[in-house]
Amino acid sequence: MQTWQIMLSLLAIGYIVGGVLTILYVLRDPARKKEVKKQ
Amino acid sequence: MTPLAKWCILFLVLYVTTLLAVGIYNSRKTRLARENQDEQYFLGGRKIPVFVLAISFTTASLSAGGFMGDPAMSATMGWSYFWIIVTATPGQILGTLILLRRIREYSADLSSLTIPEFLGKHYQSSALRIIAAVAMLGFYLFILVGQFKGIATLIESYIGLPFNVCLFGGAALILLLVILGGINSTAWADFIQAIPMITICVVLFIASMKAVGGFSGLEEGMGAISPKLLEVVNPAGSGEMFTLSGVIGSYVYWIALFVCQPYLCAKFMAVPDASRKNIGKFILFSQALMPVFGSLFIVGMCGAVLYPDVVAENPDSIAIAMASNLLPSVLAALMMIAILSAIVTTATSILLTLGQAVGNDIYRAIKPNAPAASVVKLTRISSIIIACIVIAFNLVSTPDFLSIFIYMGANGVGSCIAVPLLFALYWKKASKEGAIFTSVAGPVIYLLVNQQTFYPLNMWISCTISIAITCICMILISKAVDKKKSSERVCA
Repeated sequence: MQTWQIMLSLLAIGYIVGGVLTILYVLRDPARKKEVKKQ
Repeated sequence: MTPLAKWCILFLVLYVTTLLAVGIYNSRKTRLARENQDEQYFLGGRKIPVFVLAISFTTASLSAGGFMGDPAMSATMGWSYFWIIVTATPGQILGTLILLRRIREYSADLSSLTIPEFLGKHYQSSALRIIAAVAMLGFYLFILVGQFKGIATLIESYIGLPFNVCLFGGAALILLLVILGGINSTAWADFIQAIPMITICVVLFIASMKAVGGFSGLEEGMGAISPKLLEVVNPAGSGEMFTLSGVIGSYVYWIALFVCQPYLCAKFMAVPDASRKNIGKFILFSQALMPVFGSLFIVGMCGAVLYPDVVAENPDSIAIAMASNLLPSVLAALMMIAILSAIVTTATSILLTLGQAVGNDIYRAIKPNAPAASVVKLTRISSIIIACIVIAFNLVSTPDFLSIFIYMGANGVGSCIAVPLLFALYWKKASKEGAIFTSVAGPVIYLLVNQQTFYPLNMWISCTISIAITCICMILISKAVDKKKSSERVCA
């Protein structure tokens, strides 16, 4: 693997981890869960 | 006059006119506010749209360093310097998730408009509020001196106007945006300025990659210059920035020190509401721009291959040299506006924060019942005085224009504020005494560690060590105070 491939892969991993964390944080919102239950 | 200079003048006139129009239009909310004039001026009445604040957060976090210093460092250090971008995204996302909701909610509960005010009210200590404000005045002033010099040097080199004329003109523009409408003007102006910044990043990246022969051509070219440029992590003990400890320290910097900067936290405090949906939106808009701006690091590396003479002579000018050589005049002129935007977005946010430090944090700590109108007035006057001091610094002795000034200033403020702020948000037993001690000891420990007084270390791991030491001090002092109070209660 060339250096640029390693570094861009690390950047992509950072985005994926950060993105998953954010999505989990938004989806696990207690206020949102209450709304879904009401519906 | 060259075609490039003509385009530069045209773009500069357009740029200044647009910014002033945006500033004046958005200042009406502050002007028309009869009640809570201070909240309008400092936080836009907490009604500025999330996407504007998020983009303002990212553009304000980029300064001249992002467009000049970072490509220069990439050209000389190679791929290992790209760790800044690799660590910035997850670091800033985590920092935002940790801080945004609590800062927004807790500061609103305590009716706090600034970070020093929040710390002062939370720990019930005017001394802490003043210490934080003074640290900001001290450390941020140096960043501002560098930014003002950056504007003057940039316009001077592109258009040929005298340095002093450019300095006064740039300072007047920044000052007008700040005093017109506070964050209402600066945040919307930041949002507009993102357009030339994004355009030039994309265009210059494509042109550079084409010229160097794609990523494979870049890899070959860099390997031919020096195998060091292809190192993923610098070897331990090499004295380079990104050894393994430097990489770990870089994560800590983005999570704890960078996101705690008061001029960036102001964007968190101004969010309309701290629902998780809004936090998600904030992260989406702020982080979507990061790889676009990060492409300038790769542009810098292409510069090392294409223009090794420029890198050897004046690395800071590599991005400008590449824009001038690879792009047509009209786009090369846009490069000047993009760098100017990067500087102005940072300078307006910092100048506004410094004005608030005097008007809201020091004055209101001494006179708690001061009316909102007089606090706003004093903030505006303070901003003018601070701008005059910064101009005077530049006229008397112009400092070296280095990215390191920006990181040092940010680290100084971060090491003063980060630990008291994080403990205020997450540990109920954190004491006033611990907060005061860490706010004073933090910058001192950071400077001692970073100056390699005891052991040679790079600046990233210096941040981590100073944060770790101040965290331990906070816990020990708070526990000791808690124990003392418990024993006093038992005796009583």
